Amino acid sequence: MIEVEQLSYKYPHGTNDTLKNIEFKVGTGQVFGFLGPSGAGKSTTQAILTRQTRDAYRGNLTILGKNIKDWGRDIFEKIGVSFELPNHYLKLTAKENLDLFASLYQKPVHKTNDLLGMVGLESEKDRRVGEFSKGMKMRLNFVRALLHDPDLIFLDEPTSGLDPSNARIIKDIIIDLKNRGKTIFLTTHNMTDADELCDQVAFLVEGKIRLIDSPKELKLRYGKKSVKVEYLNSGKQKEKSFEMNKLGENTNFISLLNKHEIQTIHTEEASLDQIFIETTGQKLK
Amino acid sequence: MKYSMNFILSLIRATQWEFLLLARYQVVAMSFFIAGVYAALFFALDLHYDDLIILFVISDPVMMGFMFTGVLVLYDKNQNTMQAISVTSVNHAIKLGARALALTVLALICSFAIAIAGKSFDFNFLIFSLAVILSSILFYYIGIISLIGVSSFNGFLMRAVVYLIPFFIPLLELGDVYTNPLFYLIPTKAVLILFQASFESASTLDLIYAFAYQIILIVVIQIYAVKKYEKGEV
Repeated sequence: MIEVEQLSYKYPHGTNDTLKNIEFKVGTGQVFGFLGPSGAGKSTTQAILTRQTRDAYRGNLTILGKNIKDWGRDIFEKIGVSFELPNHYLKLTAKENLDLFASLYQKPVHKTNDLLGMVGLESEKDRRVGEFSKGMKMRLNFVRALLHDPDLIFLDEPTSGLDPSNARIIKDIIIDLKNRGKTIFLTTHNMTDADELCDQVAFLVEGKIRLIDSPKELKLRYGKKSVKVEYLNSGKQKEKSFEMNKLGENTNFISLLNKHEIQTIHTEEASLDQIFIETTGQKLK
Repeated sequence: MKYSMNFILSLIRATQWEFLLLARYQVVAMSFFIAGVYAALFFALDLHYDDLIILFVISDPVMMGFMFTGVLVLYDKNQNTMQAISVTSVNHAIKLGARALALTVLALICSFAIAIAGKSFDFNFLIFSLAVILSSILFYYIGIISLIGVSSFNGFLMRAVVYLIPFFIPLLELGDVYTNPLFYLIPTKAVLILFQASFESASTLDLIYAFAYQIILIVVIQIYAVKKYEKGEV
């Protein structure tokens, strides 16, 4: 669905390359997480892939089986883009905003009322967007990208500015889109979202990809192969770790389970946050 | 044929939305108010000086085409809606053309109101309509290219002064203040000829020059404006 080979890019007035020989592939039906701190080049990559940056870049970009330079504007009938910041006509209502954008496509589009209902905005459809909170505008941003039922969807920080329940709604929609075979390019610095949603993640730091793999593989590779047990001993909370290998035959582990009140048992795989810090030496901001 | 039909249908749809935006941004109300004030002046003062009517009428499509374009594009920039439009499949020529059409229809209504107030029905409707249409579209696209590299309203006002003052120089011919053959190089001379022709008369050569010059300029500037808009430089 997306193939990026040796992509490098320098801003017209920049001195150094912002992107340095980036390479990755995204298969059909995958959710690909593009992770990195602010200024790493995530949004620049998305801007090039969605043809918002038309300046000269180096490398080969193939989208939906065709070099990106060979596509006309019809590419936007097949891809949807949701931006990091809201961008709506503030004097129009939510429904008018979606109807206006719906009128710009040649192919049939979803019913705008249905889309607004998906993100809990149906009752607000006749309110002007200028009166919306940032979270409401972000939800409108998100569904606008789905208007024309695109095969490939670019989402830039889709849960940014949302409360947990609305973030949950957006994540459930992304999971549903993936189940329907849609491909999603997710730009985020939210590791929890990436861990939950992505089939593959790429860590981007200072314009270079440091690591690409599935979250599960990364967590296994970088985590400890052990379980941590939290239990009560004479009313005090204690914890102990055990090697996973032959855990069922570990008499200390079995004895602890039998003698104490167990509070939690967790495997000690690394979180994506920890892996990111370990491999890049940087924190996500 | 199918492509042409799609183009026309898309243009009509986009124009309808532009009208709604013009209404919500109060551009329609402001235009009607300005035209109403001009028309009321002509009625109340019983003025029938052709040159004065032409001056007021010209200022309407020209100012509407130029100044309202600036205001509308700055609205788009502040709301970042151009970014959102840039990832839809709409042809940018349609997007820009729809706004030109909407502003031109508004200019036609206002210009006719002013002209009828000043001249009753004693003028050539066809030439007058063409004069309004061409000047409105021409100054709309000039307004678009004047916005290259401008991001604030103050910046646009500065540009407007730089752009509009030279364009208004040929209007010195009204009332015989000053005339110069070099005025033929300035598009406003062509605009002026068409408006004068709709009220009085003009030579065939002048009419050919006025139509041809404006049409050629519109085509050239439109192509340039669309390219700049596509690159996100407007």
